[in-house]
This record gives sequence, structure tokens and C-alpha cells, in this order.
Amino acid sequence: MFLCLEFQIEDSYTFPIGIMFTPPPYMPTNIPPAWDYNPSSWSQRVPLIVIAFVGFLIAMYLGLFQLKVIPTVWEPFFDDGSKRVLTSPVSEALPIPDGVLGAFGYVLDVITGIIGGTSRWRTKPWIVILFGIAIGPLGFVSVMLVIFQPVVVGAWCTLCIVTAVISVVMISPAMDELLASLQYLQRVKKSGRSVWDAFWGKKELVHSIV
Amino acid sequence: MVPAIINTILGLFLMVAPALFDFSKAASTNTYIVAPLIITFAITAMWEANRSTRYFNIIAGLWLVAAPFVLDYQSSSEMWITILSGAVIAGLSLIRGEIKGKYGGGWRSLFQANPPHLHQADESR
Repeated sequence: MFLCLEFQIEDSYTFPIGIMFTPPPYMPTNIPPAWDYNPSSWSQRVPLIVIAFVGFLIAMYLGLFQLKVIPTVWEPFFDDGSKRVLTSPVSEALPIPDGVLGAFGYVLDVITGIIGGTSRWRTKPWIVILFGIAIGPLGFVSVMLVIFQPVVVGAWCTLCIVTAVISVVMISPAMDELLASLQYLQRVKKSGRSVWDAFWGKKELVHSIV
Repeated sequence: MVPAIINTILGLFLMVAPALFDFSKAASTNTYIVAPLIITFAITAMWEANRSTRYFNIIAGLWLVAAPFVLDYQSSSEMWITILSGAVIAGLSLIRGEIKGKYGGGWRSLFQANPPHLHQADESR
């Protein structure tokens, strides 16, 4: 009953007292104009947060092996492939092993996925854009690492491929929210107001631009 | 949606093809670079809002058709596997498919003078 009520409010308008009402046309709703759903709703974000957390666990496991905290690494298909990939010059090119960096990336995904309410595409564009950067370009980096496995190292690493699949699957479901935020900033720009203020979610703007 | 799923499967097939069919060095390297990119863009194109990423796979597919000649592939198996998969991937990437949602006019709206989301926002004011 409670959940049902919350869900209804989420996609129309959050009223301080929690009473359900039909918003007058001039009032902003959480569904962006010319959209069919709200990309900032929890039903859109929670799956991404969960998948990113799984990605974090796997990347952290690989990172701990690279830091020699764990002596061996699980590899069901490619013999010593994981070991060769994870100890390769590519993986250790930076001062911090790439598994640990990947884990940080997933933490950033989780944090930027959680921050903000269901109207954050409008109230906190900066966090939505940070979320988009954490998932889009960083997802692409994990694809580049999959290319390096056979081409540079000459070995395959099962769990590394799993994390790359996780990263790639997250891209599209996250990009829709980024699109809604960018469209909002576009409307702010066309209205002649400060895109910078809107980017940081300045209160006066949030209530004056649809 | 369906073309993107088939292209994802074709991309996965290309990932294992060099090992299965004993590709030469140049053919393997090229496949191992292009196939993960094809899979990535096919997966993102499964969602309506990002259907436009299919355009990348038109280029990638056409490259696979040309690659055996440019990179001088050796065996006929690696040559035909690459050409045929590339042609199918490029062909399927031409299909836009049904787009039910509106997404405020999509990514192209960001470059339009009067995009659908702005129009709708003005109307509801």
C-alpha cells in the first residue's frame, strides 16, 4: 500500500505532505517534456546500482590478486590466462593495478547512481553528468582492455571479460538520464538563463524552467 | 532490437572464430579489435534511445568486408567468415526498427533549433 502510493507520487509530482494530486500544467513533473517515463526514477536506477556493485566486487577481487593480497585467481576456461592478463605490462602500466582502478570506477557508478531524488535530471544535472561519464567513457575503457587481452598479452581472462560485459550493459540504461539532463540544460540555454547555475541545480532556476 | 541481438551474437562468433578456424596473425588481430567494438555498439543499440549507435556497426561491417583485401588474408575460411559476417552486420545495422518511446526527440534534439522537448515544455507552460 505504502509502496504503491510512493510509486504514484514519483511519476507525477512530489508534494511535501505526500498527497496525490494532478499537477497543474505549468508545474514541472518528474517526467521530462516529450518523454514517456522518468529516467531518474528508482526503477530505472536501482538495477544499475546493483549491477555496478557486482562489478565492484569482481574488480576488487581481481585488484586484490594484483596487489598480491590473494595468492591465486579463479579462471575456469583459459588455464593461466587470468594470471597472465592481470600481471601483464598493460595491467600494471599505471602505479595502481587496473583491477583496483576498475573497482574505483564501479564505486563512482554506485555513488553517482544513488545521489539525488527522482527529479535529479533537473535538480542535479552535475551528478547525472558525472554518472554518465562514470558509466559511458569508463565502460569504453573496459572494452579497450578486452581488446588488449588477445592482441597485446595473448591470453584471456574470464572475470575481466565479465566486468567488461557488466560495463557495456550499463551504458544504454544510464545514457537516457544523461540525455534528459542535457535536454534540460538546452532548454535553460534557449531561455537565456545561466547554464552554469542550472548545472549546479540553483533553486530559483529549478522552479522556473520546465 | 532483433537486428542488434543478432549482431551481438555475430560479434561473439567473431570473437571465437580466430581460435576455431585457425586465423592467421593479421586476421586474428583485426578480428580481436573489431569484434568487441561491434558487440559494444550492438548492445547499446538494443535500447531505443541509443539506437543510433548502429551506425558505427555499418562502418565496422563494411570494414570487415574490405579487410581481407586490405590486410591480405591468407586462408579462404578466414576470408569468407570475415566478409560474410561483415556484410550481415552492416546490413542488419541499416535497420532502424520500431521506436515506441519519445525521449524528448532523442540525441539529435541537442543539435536542433526547436527540438520536441522544448516545444512540449513551451506548450505546457
